[in-house]
Amino acid sequence: MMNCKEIERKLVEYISAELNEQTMAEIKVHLTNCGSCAASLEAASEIIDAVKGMEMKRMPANTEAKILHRLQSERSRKTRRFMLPWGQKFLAISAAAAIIAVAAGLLFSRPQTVTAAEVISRATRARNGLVSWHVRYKFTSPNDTRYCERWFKSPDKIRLEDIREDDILGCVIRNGAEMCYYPNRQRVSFSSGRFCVESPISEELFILEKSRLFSRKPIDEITEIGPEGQVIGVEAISGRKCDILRGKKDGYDVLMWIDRETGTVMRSIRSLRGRIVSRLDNVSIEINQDIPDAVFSFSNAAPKGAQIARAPFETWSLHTKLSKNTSLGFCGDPRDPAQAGEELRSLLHDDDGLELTEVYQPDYIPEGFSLIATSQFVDLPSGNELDHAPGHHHCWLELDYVNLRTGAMIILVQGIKDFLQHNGAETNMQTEEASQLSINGTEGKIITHYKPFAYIILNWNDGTTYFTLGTTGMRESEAIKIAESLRKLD
Amino acid sequence: MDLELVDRFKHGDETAFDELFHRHKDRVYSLVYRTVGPTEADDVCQDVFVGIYRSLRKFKGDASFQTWLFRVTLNTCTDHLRKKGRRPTALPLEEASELVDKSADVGREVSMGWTQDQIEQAIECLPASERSVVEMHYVHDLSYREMSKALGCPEGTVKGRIRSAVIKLRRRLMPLLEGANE
Repeated sequence: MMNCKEIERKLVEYISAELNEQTMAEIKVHLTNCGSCAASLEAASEIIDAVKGMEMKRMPANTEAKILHRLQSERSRKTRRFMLPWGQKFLAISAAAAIIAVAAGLLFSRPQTVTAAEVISRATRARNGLVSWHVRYKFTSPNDTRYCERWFKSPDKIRLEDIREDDILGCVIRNGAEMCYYPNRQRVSFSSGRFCVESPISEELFILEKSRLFSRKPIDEITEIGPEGQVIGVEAISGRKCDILRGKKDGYDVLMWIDRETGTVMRSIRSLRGRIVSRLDNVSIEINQDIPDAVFSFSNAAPKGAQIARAPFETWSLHTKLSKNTSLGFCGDPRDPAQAGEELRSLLHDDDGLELTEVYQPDYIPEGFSLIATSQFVDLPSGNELDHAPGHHHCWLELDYVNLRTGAMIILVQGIKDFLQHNGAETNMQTEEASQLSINGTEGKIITHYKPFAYIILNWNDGTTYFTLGTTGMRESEAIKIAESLRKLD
Repeated sequence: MDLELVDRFKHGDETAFDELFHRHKDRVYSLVYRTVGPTEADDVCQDVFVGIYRSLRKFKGDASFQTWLFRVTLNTCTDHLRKKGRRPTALPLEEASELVDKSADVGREVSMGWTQDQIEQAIECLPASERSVVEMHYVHDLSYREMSKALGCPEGTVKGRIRSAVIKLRRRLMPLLEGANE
């Protein structure tokens, strides 16, 4: 039998149930008969509960900054350490040590040739070493001027906003996420918000899944130029010493100025056959300043004046990777159908390779749907992002309707070629899943999918124009009714 | 996940170390803070992470990464205290009591009427060796076996330290509760 002193020694393990069964039972019996030990047990339990409730200390931002800075120095030192033995080895195997030493001295005193890969790697490391940054850019192209504002806070808080002076250009919602249409914001992405607005013209995919916070280091621009690029010089922009890289991206010539200290792109210019297509200029940069967490969160409410749309499915895209638009686009406020007609006409007469001569609009659209986009898009082999690339002739017009309450969509594509066939997506239409049907006397096909989400696609042509109608959240009869209501605009 | 990152780092992927840093920085900081105290936590944490960076290639995966991480952390803390000419001991009892008394009516109440500050300060009064095991066991949920590996000492020693810490905490905290109830 254990006495009180022995019990006292084992109380902590007894509370954590880390003793063998026999000892646990023995102590239990003792505690029922000994008021003093029972009181000790109670007190010890309270203490342990209190200690367990103690909060983990969070590393302060300035400590983190110092550590990252020291790690950066450590990495540089490591690089030098690796270099030295090779230099020594080189000298050691030389037969004419003195001559070689002089030659080596001359060699090392010449300016070092830095490769693009090294510049990119250095910039990435510099960027990873930052605790926070907040940059503003001005983006200009012949068709567009917008301001890009980006916040990053280590380790994974990111906010990106592309603000246009006119309106939102496009975005996509995926994976059951909510889209928030936020006026004048072309793109808003949050690391931990409950929604994300994504631009279809961007190759950076910030897919929002409700169950997963996205985490991404904001190094996107730096890697635009691959390691095959060239370093063509050094220049200071706003007092920051930048390496200038030259390379190619999606067929464009790209010049990029990268700040050595922070890895930030200070300027980027894209050109096509000597003509500037777009440029990005850094307006301001703040490094390692304390950014309040609230900046990264819209977790409880959408911004004032925003509209919410829901995508109740995995993803929606009629387009393939080969198509310029890789995702469904939203374009601002629901618009007046009459105005949409005007927009379609103007697109029709826009001489950018569109070979359509007539354009159709549905007379019937189910209740609750609003037209939110009229767009022309071009097929480009590289999935390129130019809105109106000259010299490409596979063009379609697209009308997008969305029920902002339910997230259901109607997408109508019309062109002089079969959109599905041209984009390699016609295969399903040739399977048994597809049924024949007649649209106003014209033969067509219809296919209804239930996975990963329920959608219907109709595909037909009237001999001149090819139509593809995609819908979600409605019956086949409703989709056919829309197709049959198409009317040629005067 | 940790082992995968270690492997990537060993194969030259520096970004893997950044990920490890972000995953564990708060754990390390918390342990350092409670072992060496708030004023020196900043410096020691820098040494810890530089030490981890230099020695990560030697990590063989015998223990969990967290255990190894804590071992490096605690060794750095011990070295630091030794260099400063301090043994990892407790605050003088009078000073400790004063601290506890001062905090009697401030801070957030977390359990049984004690505030977070009271508990923190009572823990500060423990010897560093006991502070670190309390932190590892009750905040980071390390088992006795894991703590014994992290500390490089027998499990019995770890149990003894926990036991001793709880007894001391009880002596310091219970009177505050009784005082408040009077």
